[in-house]
Amino acid sequence: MSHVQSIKCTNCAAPLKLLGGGRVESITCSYCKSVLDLNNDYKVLSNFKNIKEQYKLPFDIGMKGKLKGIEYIIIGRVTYKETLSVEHGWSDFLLFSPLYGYAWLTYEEGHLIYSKRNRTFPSLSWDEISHQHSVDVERKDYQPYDNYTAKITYVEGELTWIAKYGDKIEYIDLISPPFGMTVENSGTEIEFYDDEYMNANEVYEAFLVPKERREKNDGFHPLKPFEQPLLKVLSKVSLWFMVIIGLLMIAFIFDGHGKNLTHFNVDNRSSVTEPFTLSTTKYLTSIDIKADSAKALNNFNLKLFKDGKLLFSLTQKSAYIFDTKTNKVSKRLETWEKRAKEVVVYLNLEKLGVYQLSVLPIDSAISSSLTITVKEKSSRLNYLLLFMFLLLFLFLLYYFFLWRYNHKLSSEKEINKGDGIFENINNWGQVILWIVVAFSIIFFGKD
Amino acid sequence: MDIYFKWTKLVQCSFCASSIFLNDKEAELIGKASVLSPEPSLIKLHEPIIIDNKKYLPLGKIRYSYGRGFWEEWFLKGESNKEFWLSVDEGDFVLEKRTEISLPFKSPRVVRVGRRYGAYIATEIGEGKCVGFEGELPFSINIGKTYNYIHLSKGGGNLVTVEFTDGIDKIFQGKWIDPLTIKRVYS
Repeated sequence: MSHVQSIKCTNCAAPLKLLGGGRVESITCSYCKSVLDLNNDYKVLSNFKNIKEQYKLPFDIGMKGKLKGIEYIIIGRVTYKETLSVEHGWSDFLLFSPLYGYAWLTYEEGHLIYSKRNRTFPSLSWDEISHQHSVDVERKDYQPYDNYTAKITYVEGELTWIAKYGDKIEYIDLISPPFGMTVENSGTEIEFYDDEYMNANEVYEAFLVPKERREKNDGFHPLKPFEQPLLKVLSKVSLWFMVIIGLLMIAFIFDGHGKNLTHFNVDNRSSVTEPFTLSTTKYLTSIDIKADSAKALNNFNLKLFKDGKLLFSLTQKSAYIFDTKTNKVSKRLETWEKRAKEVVVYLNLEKLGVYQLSVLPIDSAISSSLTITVKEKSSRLNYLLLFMFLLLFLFLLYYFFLWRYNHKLSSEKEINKGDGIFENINNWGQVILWIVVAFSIIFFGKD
Repeated sequence: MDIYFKWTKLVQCSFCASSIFLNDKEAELIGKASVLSPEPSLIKLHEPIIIDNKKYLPLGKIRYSYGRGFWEEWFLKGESNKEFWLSVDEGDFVLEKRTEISLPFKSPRVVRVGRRYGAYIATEIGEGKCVGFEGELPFSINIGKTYNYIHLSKGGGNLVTVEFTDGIDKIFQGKWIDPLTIKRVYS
């Protein structure tokens, strides 16, 4: 704890304000970039003058804002680059609150992480942490995710230690999105930090960051939680509809399984006209035509009459509904495939009474026979099934994106690769996808 | 002057800042301490707080300086009239009580930061100069005296603090506290 003080840079005499409390050990002059030792009469320790500031960032030292209910002031900044991947860098902003002490706000390609020192980490050595499948800290399960070394490339403002250009720090990241733990090994001390992925816009608003300096965070970050609220709602709604449609389908299967009106056989030697009496118009009237071979099925012409007038005609080559009032074909229908051995026709017959079903062989020389069954009160579930698949698709869409997110998380993971919850989720995602593909093939292939 | 704790030994008059030592028979004026500079703090004298569903009453505090800054040790009266200490250092809060545990080393001088001693890892060794106090304390203090301490961490937020000068003076055992979990009884 300390009061705000003003000092003069011992290198360039520029006025510097000390904002950050009693634990601050160094300040970098904002004018000449000299690093001054606060515990040793502001002695110049090093200089960042020739180090180019790599990133233009949304935050400046001195900005004030409220995070997690705590009033903070930004007092310092350290920029790091990973030693094995120099393109990968980030900046840590040191926050200070006189009541709650120090915290960090990490900025990484638009992503913002709030970190605070953790004191409750289990008593594990550095090597032990990497080899854990998960680490339980205050009832949160963290997965070891990455182990890397970074070096300091830029420093600004006040810090609670003396940072020099090129200083190396080793990290272990553990994740439980949107939370995480960072274990830092500076060589002399191991520190633990609680991390939390922040809503960038809320942080920008809190620190009054001008809109033109705000960067979007569309990319991947291991702590960025999976969020698809619209798809999640759609998935839940789809599930409920699937339950309702499923129950309806069961009801239709029981109630609309059909009542036999006639059942007869026909062969290539003569034509047959079979009458049947329709007693209800509930659901549809089905005509099931079965043959031993596709050639036999294709050798017949089927016509349906009512009171001597043609209503419907069906051969392998054409199918249509005939309008007796206009004496014209009112609707052409798709016929069956050449290789089919069975066809079921569903007709919406509006009038009750006697109908004649006429079956004629096309070529009496081809040995063929048919078995025909006519049923009334037959329900047709194709449209409901189609709707069911649409709902299933919407239901699984959310889980597909969740699987894709976990797949990405798993592929980026550098510790215990192939282990843990990510892989399990991955496997389940694949199982779900294969189920959908299999169902789709069965359903669409059948028609 | 109101005394809130049965075993209070040192009390500061809130009007004239006189320090009064309470022995078994009488109150003895031992001097006048300078008033501590007011600093923003989550804890206020005589304003009860709740930590982990337990109520504590802050009765006094000792301020220690470590050069550029300082930390404060708050003397709390817990439930059943027990003595607790809350260390407050720029957002780091540790709630401890005195203990008589045996330590896995003979002399605190041999302890080094980062080394393991039995179930403990030494995480911090430091010193602080006592610069003053407020309220009442269960023992007398020497203003201006430098106190040494060792922090021994047991993991999971468990901490042992060893206070020493030449030999071991006092041992405290407790836990790190998240300041956001500290609630005021009368907010």
